[in-house]
Amino acid sequence: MTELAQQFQAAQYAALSFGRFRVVVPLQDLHSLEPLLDVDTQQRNGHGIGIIELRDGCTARVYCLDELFSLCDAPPSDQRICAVLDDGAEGQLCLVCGTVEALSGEVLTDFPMPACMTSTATPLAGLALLAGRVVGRTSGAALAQFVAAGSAAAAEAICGVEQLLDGTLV
Amino acid sequence: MSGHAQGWLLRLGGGLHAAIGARELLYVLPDEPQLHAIPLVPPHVPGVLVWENFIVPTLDCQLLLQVGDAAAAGTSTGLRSLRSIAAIVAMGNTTGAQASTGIGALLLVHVPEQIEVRDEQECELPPALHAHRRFFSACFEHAEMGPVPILDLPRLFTAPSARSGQGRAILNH
Repeated sequence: MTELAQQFQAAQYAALSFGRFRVVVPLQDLHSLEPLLDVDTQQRNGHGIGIIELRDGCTARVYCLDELFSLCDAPPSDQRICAVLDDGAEGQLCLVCGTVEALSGEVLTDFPMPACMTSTATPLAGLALLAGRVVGRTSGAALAQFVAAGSAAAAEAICGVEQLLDGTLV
Repeated sequence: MSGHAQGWLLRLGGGLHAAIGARELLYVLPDEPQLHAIPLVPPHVPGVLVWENFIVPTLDCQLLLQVGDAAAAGTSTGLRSLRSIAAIVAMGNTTGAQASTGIGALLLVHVPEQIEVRDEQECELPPALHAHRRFFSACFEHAEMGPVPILDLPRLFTAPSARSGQGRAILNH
């Protein structure tokens, strides 16, 4: 077993970075890590940047989020790792991240999301302090739901623009 | 109000000032405290700061109340805000059996000033703040500032997010 594999086995959480913002997810939600180079960008679908074939033969759509959690059409320059997460519905979601780190031994102090910051729009279930830094707490299922909602909203918007251009939307 | 009470006068930016009770101010971070931006929160919450190993939500009242030149004075991250002082405040919610306490932070343009308020200073809330009267518990006439509203901190820090119900990520082209 490699040192990295041992580290992951001992950890309970994984920290994923999106720009300057990091989230922690339960390690069991992290299916695998894949290189960005393996993404087939010819098969763009919806608002993903492409699809990736996983080791078990399944495929997953690949999405990019920036540090404000906006869906991006292309990965930000500092994000090069694909984190494949269980989406909570027996599927996988692939998100492009800057870093993925297994947390073993680090103290994670949980805080509920402050009332003035709660929103149905956020995939964050709460906040946490990790080595003096603020991180968001989420899960693969919450991130998958968030990306699906954002992708659907963007598709609706594009459909509306196309109808407007076609003159079919009055 | 009965007799007189001690409090703190807070300058919130854009000509907006307000007061809180003497015991509600816990600490002042005077030197541009580091704000950690959190995605998908309302613009009036520029981030959180870490104080005494607590994560403290930080409010920009000028943006929340939309007074003064709010749009020019703040950004969605708040990191370039001119409001470079943070007041750590205690929120005591003592309603019924579900009493709870918490802490928050308010961005200021000046260090808080200790004041004394007497009963006879009570006055009406200025018309410009009527739309936000739920955030104030009372108002008093200050000799130099004119009407000064008293913040209802628990309500201020439980103001629902403007994004609630949208439920969708934003596509960034």
